[in-house]
Amino acid sequence: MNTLTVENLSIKYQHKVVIQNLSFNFESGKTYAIFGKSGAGKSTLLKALCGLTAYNGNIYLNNENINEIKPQILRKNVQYLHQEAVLFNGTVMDNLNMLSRLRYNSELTIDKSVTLSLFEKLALDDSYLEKDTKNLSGGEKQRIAIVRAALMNPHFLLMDEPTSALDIGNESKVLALTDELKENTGIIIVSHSLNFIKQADEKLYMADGEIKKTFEHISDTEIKKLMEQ
Amino acid sequence: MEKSILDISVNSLLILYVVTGFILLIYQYMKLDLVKDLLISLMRMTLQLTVAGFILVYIFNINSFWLILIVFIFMASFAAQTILKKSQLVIPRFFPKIFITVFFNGSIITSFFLYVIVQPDPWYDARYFIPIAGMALGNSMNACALALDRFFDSIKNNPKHVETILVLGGTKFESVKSFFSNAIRSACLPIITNMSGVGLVFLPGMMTGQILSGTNPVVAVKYQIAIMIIITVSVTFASLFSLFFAYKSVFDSRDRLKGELFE
Repeated sequence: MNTLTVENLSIKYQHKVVIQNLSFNFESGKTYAIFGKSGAGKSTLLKALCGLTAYNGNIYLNNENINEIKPQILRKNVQYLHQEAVLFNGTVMDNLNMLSRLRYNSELTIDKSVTLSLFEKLALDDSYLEKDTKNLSGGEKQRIAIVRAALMNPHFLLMDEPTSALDIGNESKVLALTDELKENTGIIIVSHSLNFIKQADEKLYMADGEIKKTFEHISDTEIKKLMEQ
Repeated sequence: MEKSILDISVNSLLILYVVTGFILLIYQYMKLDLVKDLLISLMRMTLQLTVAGFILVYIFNINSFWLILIVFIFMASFAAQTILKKSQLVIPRFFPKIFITVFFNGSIITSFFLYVIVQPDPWYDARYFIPIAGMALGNSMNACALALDRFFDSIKNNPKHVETILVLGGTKFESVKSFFSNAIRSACLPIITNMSGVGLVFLPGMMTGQILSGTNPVVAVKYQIAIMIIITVSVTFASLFSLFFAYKSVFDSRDRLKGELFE
């Protein structure tokens, strides 16, 4: 089992407190949905977990302080997806092959059958491999970015609004995939989508830089009420 | 048959200042808001060039290695300062790095050019060293400013691009590599474009000067070819090294983009 433990995390940005004394323990085998109004510190929390934002306090990956782990190794194990998926110029295949060309990924091999099976699960056929990323829609880019992150076999997969550009059908496919991946990879998702929030194993409500409440079950009405508060 | 250049009398120069007066009247009439700028620039140019002329006469007469070195250090510091000002960078302790880049780049290239290619006696002859070093420095100054400006702009406009490569396990350099290459490309493109237009579209300043002062055009052409190549080398290395020194400054000790610069 993989764990990602946050202890007394505080983050300030331009003298404004974004995260305040936050502690929580994330585990693989579960999906976590973080919700709350914008500005609650949700995205900042994700970026701190994968080592993209400076913070005060402690974060441990499998009981090892992440400051002791080489940044490249940490990030390989804690994958993070921006809300707007970033794909690079070239074909989708180029975007997947670039993974093993990075210095710290030399041992990573991109297995075509694994890639295609992930594609299939997200309703992408194999013709996408040759498509130019310039011609893809926002939703297609999001799904390909999810495949690219999954190919890294991370301990944790952090996603910031991963379905903001997807329709309901594709959103449920992403949901099904995360459910499948969670056995080995802890899934932490920031989302406004009721589907995502309700289906997550744990729901964390964030406000003012803190996790105010956690839920195992929550109704649509309650989510909406909290989001409006 | 070689002719030496005709001197311009002070009176003739004054005629040109009067011509500038007409230009000022046009600016004033058209309300171009350039009168003050032109007057200040004209005065600065007159003063700077007059002082430079006297200093050059003195340096050429003495022709001492150490004096030339001091002048070159002064030129390099001015170039480094201009690069920082033009690219509007707020990187702590960056001046020494940029100075080292332009100083070593300019001095090594100029020394190579004089020692190996032109071979004057002594090899550091001020009459050759100062103008050639000036051309190498001037061009690398513009190239560095352009490269740094382009590089930092790309990162500011695309922080997610950098973060995505970092997240996929990329190193600091890997995450900015494409911006690095684009910045060098922008810095080198002007001189490469110049190379293809030279002789057809325009005659460069150095060649024009040499021809006016009576140099055989064939010799002037050889100098021009040599200097264009030297400038290309200088521009390439200067932008390469300045970016190499600069790119790390956008990251903190944990290879994270510095928030205060890019959020």
